[in-house]
This record gives sequence, C-alpha cells and structure tokens, in this order.
Amino acid sequence: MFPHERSLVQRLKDKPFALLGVNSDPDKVYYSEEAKANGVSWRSFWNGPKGTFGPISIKWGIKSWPTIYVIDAKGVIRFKNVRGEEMDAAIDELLAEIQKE
Amino acid sequence: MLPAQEVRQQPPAETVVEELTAELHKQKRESRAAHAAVRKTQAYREASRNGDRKVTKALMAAAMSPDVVGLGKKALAAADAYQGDDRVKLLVWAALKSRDPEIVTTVVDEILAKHLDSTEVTQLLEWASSISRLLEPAKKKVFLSTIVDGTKNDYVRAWAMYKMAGRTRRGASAEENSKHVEMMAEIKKLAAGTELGELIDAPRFVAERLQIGMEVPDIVGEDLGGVKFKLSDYRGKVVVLDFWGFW
Repeated sequence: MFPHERSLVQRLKDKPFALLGVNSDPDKVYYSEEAKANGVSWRSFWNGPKGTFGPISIKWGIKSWPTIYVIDAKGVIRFKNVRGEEMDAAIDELLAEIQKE
Repeated sequence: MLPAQEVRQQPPAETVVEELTAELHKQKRESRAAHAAVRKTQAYREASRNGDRKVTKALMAAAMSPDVVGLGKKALAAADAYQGDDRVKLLVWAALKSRDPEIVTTVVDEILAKHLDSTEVTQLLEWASSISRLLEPAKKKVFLSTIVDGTKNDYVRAWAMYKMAGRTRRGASAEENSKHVEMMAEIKKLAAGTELGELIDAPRFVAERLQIGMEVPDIVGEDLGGVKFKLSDYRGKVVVLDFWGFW
C-alpha cells in the first residue's frame, strides 16, 4: 500500500491534489518512527488515543481498514475504496475536470 | 508555613494515565522490535520454511512482550492517591490495559460498589464484552444490569443499556425483538449528542451523508504534530481521504 501512495504523492506533487489520512495509531511515537521508515510524507488527522475506535472513524462508521474516499475539487464524494490503477484513473479523471473549467 | 513535601500536590490523574500509557507504548514498540528480530534469525526462518508452527510459536513466545499486568498493578497502586473520577480513570486504565482477571475483578467490584455515577465508567463499558468475559459467571451476569439499575448518570446508563441490547438482539423472539426496539429508542434519547449517539447513528450517517455524489461532511481535527486543520481546507484540490494506520 505504501509504495503506491508514495509514488502517487510524488507523481502529483505539482497538481491540485492532496492525499490525506485519518490515522488510527494510538501511539504517536510509533507512528512517527514508522512514517519515517516508510517514507510517509502526507498529512493525517489523528483519530486519537483510542485508535480505530476514535471519534472520526466512529462517526464515519468505518468498519474496515483501509477505507478510501476520493473527493473532487468541489468537495463531492466521487469514488469509494478504489485501489491501485483504479485509484490512479479516478484521480486523473477528477484532475482533468478541474482543467476543463 | 508547611514544609515543602507536604505542600507538594499530586499530579492530575490524567498525567499519570499519560505516563502509564507512554510506558505501555514504549514496551509495545520494544516488543514489536524483538519479534521482528526473531523473524530474522536463522532458527526462525528454517522452522518457518519447514512449516513447523510449534517451533516458530515458541521462538516468538520467548521474545519480549509488554508487562501489562505489572503496569495494571502500577495503575491500581497509583489510584490510591486519588478519589472520584480521577480514581476511576486509573482503575479503568488498569482493567483495560492489563486484561488480567484478578485486576479486572478488583476494578469491577469497586466500580459496582462505589462509582456507578462516574462518567469514566463508560470507558470500561465500551469494552464490556471482553471485560465481562474475564469475570466469574455470577459477576458477569450482573455486571451490566447492576450499572443500568444503579447509576444516576444518563450517559453511563445509555452505554450499559447499549451493551445489554447487543446481547438481547441475538435471542430474538418477537417479544424480545419489540423490547429491543424499545430499548434502542430509550438509548438513543439518552445518548443524543454524545459519542455513543454518533456510534449508534453511524449507519444512518453513512447512508445520508457519505454516498457517492454527496458533498463530503467536513472533518475538523488535528494532525499527528498537533496542528489543527480541516478537510475543507483542501477544497479546490482532488483529495484522497484514506482511513489507515501502521498498528
């Protein structure tokens, strides 16, 4: 999962694109060590000390991890749980929409 | 004037909990590292290649693991310096993190006898099923009902009822079913505007707010560095929002 996300962030670094996480590691020290070791540079909301039972994932009814939402520039949910090439295609489609306007 | 020692005050219970949690996390990290090191040894690799689960299991078991019982006892001892919600906070931490039957029983006994009205009890109730599994059958049976019947705190009662409702649902005769519906309606009323309310409401939130084509609800929170930000700060960009963790 991380290699794809790393290359995604790299490929789109000059585009109007952001990868944002909701991170559910209860231990921030562990998170920062792993983030460093895995080249995780993107920003995440912290889901709090209760980990996967934190307030954001509770409200959003998250039952499986990872769960992915792809949101367009207007703030509309356009895709859910797309991975790999499917995710790339979804993002490219939404980036093209911005260009058209 | 009092001598310095007597003036010294206890740190807030929250600080003690944070220190204990930091120690637990440190031990967990050390344990993960120790297990990773075992996986790299010749002996482990060989056993793993041969599919010898008994050997790989034994090698893993010999690696360092967090002393959760020791930390639980430390929390119990620390609790003695506190009263009320502060004390309950530490007791609940001890039960949840140790998952030790003896500690859990001590904590549940005291809560049922003295702290039914403390909101901190809800932290324990979130894990009611795994906690009650560690109690003797007689105690397990009355754990939730004692709280429901005895507490004057609506949020505590809502949580205890919610956990009881989870049990009755599996019984499901027609009569039990209508009782379940009634109970859920009361829980929803008691829990309105709380985290439990959001938990109960989540399926509706997903259906009404989180479908493709809908405007995404905002998230207001902070990043791992403690900096506040909002999902809507990124309006104008294509956003991939990923619920994830290393664990």
